Amino acid sequence: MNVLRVAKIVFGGATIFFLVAPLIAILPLAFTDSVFLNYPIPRYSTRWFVELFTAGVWQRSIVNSLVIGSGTTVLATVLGTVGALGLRDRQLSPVLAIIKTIFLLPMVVPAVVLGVGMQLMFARYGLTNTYLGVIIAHTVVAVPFVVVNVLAVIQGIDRRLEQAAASLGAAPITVLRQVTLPLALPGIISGAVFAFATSLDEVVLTLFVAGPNQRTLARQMFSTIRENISPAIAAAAFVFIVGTILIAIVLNLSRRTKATAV
Amino acid sequence: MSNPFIRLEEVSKSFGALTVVEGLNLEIGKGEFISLLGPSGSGKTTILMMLAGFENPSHGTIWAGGRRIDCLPPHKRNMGVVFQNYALFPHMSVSENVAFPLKMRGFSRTEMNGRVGKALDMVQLGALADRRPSQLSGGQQQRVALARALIFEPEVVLMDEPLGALDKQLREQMQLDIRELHRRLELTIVFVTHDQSEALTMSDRIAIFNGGKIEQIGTPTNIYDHPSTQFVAEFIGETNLVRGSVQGTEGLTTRVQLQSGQEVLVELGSNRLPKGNVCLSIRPERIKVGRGKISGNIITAVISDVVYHGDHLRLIAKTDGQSIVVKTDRSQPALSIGEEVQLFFLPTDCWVVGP
Amino acid sequence: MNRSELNKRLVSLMLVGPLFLFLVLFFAVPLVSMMKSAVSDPVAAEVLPATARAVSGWDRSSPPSDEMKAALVADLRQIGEDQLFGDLVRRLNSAKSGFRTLMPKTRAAALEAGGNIDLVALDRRWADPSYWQAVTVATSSTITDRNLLAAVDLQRDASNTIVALPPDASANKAIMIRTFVMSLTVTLACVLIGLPFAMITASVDGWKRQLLLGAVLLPLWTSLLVRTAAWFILLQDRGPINSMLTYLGIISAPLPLIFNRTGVIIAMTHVLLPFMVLPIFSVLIGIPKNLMPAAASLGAHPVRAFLSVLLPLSLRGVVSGALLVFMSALGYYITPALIGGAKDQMISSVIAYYATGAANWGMAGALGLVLLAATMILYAIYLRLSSDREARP
Repeated sequence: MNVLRVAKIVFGGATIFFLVAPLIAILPLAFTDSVFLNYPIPRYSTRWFVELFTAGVWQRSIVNSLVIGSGTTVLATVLGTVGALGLRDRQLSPVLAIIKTIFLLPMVVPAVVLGVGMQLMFARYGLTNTYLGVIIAHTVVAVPFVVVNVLAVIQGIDRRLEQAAASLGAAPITVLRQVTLPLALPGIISGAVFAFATSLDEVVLTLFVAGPNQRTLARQMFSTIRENISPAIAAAAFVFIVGTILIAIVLNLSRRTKATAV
Repeated sequence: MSNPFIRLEEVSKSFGALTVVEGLNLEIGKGEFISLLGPSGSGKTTILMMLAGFENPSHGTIWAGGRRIDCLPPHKRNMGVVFQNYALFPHMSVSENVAFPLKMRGFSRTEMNGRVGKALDMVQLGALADRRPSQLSGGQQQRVALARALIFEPEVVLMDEPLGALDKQLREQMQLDIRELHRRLELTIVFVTHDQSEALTMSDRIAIFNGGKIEQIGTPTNIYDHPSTQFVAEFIGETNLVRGSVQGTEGLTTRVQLQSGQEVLVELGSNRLPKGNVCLSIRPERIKVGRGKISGNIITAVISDVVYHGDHLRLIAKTDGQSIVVKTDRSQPALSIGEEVQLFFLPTDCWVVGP
Repeated sequence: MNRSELNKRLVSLMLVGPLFLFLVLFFAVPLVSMMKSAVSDPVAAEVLPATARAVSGWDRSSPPSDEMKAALVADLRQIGEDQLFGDLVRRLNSAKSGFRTLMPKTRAAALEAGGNIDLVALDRRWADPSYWQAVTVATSSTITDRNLLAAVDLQRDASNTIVALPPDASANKAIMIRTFVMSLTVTLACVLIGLPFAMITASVDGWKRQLLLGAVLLPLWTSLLVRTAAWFILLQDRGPINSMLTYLGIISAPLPLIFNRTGVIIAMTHVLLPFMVLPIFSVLIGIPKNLMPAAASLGAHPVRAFLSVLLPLSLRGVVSGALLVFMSALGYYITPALIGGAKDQMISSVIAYYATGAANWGMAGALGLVLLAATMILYAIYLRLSSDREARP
């Protein structure tokens, strides 16, 4: 029995190491003074962060990512939340069940396939090399996350709360505004966060529909790794990882305060 | 009823192939406290949902205050609803919850504050106005729900098993509180419950539901003393059902021979004269045990069990295979199992509940 | 169905309407465009209308007529946009190589000199019927199965029967097999690591379970690009892994870890492992805790109990997880593109190459169609399995 215990600890530890160590190992490299991404780090400096936030291409790509990410978040959150409201019944009619499957499909279709199709179609309507085009492309793949997150929350809302509001004199629109949406807020927020994160991380569709002017941070990282790797990548990765952890903490906290308040 | 406030006419409701309410007619007077009582699935909650407007009748019409309301959406019906789980808005404070209907009706802030304060005082929750519902006990939440449903002075208050989630002591307190509010504010209350004692204590009238239809409707006394069917007799209170056949009638008194061969007199005090086979209902507390001679019916039986209940004793007596339960106070001289006793009851305490 | 029910459905449809329209427009239409591009090729017929008419009566073997040549020159003079001309060249060149140099030369000559020009004198290739055959094929039809055939290394020969492409002309079949093998390898690696890991996670609780789950969720939450970048940095010849091994004296020369199959498999396993662990874990925690003690109390040896109770029950999670991982792996682009060498590119990379590099939309579409079909079939199986699970009590 003890052998099993030891095996469990060793295997669990090794797997945790495999999962987490790569992410941790690159963090210190963001602070190297060298132009190579190697250990041991000769001297520590923040030069690559300075590069990341001041060099033209990087700065530009960060701004682009924020613009496109915000646009995607707004569009995907609105469309996804409204769509999820229409799918909240637990027993969906066949038509709605099919629609729900369609709403989730962009998560599954390989990005390259979608990218080829989008480039073909967007070129026809002058959407390639435009911010709108990139925002639309990102929204297509971000919207399922909003639908899933919002659905998970609104399916848990007690219908009687809305009935109570109606019986107290609230018209349907008021019920939606005063009761349903405030209660769905945690789901809407996490959906929005997922949408933003999806946009931030999107490379493939961006490759197909964005022009040089819409080069996002992820796209810039992609070509930097591909063409001339530099420690600015490690700095960018550092920002991403720290950002991820911060968002995870914030989401967790908001969920926790919500849980104690309700 | 000469001038009913609420009238349901031939109302039916079905969900797919399942008919939940069938051809229902019901009239409710202004200021009346009526309970809809029945087992789960009997259609009583569906009626309430149709009155509130959360469900639409498949057939039939509903009137309230001279208006036809079955086509109105819930927010235009002006009915207060109290839900079993209270349905308080978790994202609003107690006072925001109570102010909600006033806000919907465009009250000014000052008037709103005044009314909310009064309403919360009425349910003794003035001190908790800024709390969230989740910070309140079940009984407090129930009182907030009550205040919220009453503050806009609705024409009718609908209550869907509002006390079901409370413990026994709190429930009895709330029953008294609601009765008091009903009297003081002259409310019209439709109260759905599956708890028969709650219905008996609170209501002006009770409608007993079974399988989507009203089995009997009447005052608590009327329903308890004169159940019209076997279902009602068994559902309301405890009873002994005894079968027999009618031997003859003299005036208002009917002679019934029980299956055991013993004969009893039944006085219905009405024009209902049964014939053939009948089922009699005799309430356990109306039966006396003794050896002396008392007027009325006498059945000879053998004690098979004596159960101690604190404030009363319960005797199980057997006569020819049939069990008869007798509720008696503790002044009853001690009886032992196997002892033969005579059970007495008045002809007016028997009631025919069916064939 | 009564009025209120109808109303409710109407409201539902109105709510899902905007997103539905959005996805039809920007998700379905692009996919359809991609599929259409796989089977359509109208450019030659549109750009060379006179030539199309002229070659329609040709027997495809005799020397090209003057009428055909004149029509071609006339058509070439009509072409205004360079973009369109480029598409035409690409189309013709894909039917027969050589047009890439021949066409610009011919067009320049046609635009320079007015009147008739001697094409054969300009370039001897115009005397070769095989070039005219390519023109005929390209102009005669807007629908073609050429791309779909080429996607699986087939073609139609001069007599229009389907034959295999010469082995050096295309490698699509090899790439599909490679994609399949690599995805399968990654899936297997994920099962081998993920199943025991999920079992360990389900067998502990408290902070231990939180730690194990956190280790799975952290990478899942981290940017895919960052994870790939991390592996890129780690696997370099002079990266942390090789430096460490050299430092420890285990190796003297750096192990080749990047730009090869090993690196891609390691990085993809890392990226996709959470998709294996989470479904298995969710199945496992649904299994009553007392099942193993129950088996033990009935006299089963722990190993026996594991094999006959826990393993079969967790199998459904394994199948779901494997489908998810395999399906995602099939379409992977970023990781192989950055960490793999030329011999490790999967089908997505080839599609991207055809679309952005070679501007050959037909081939991109055809290969895309193959990938899309494979993914959708796997997804349908996955949905079927998971809805089965929901249906069961």
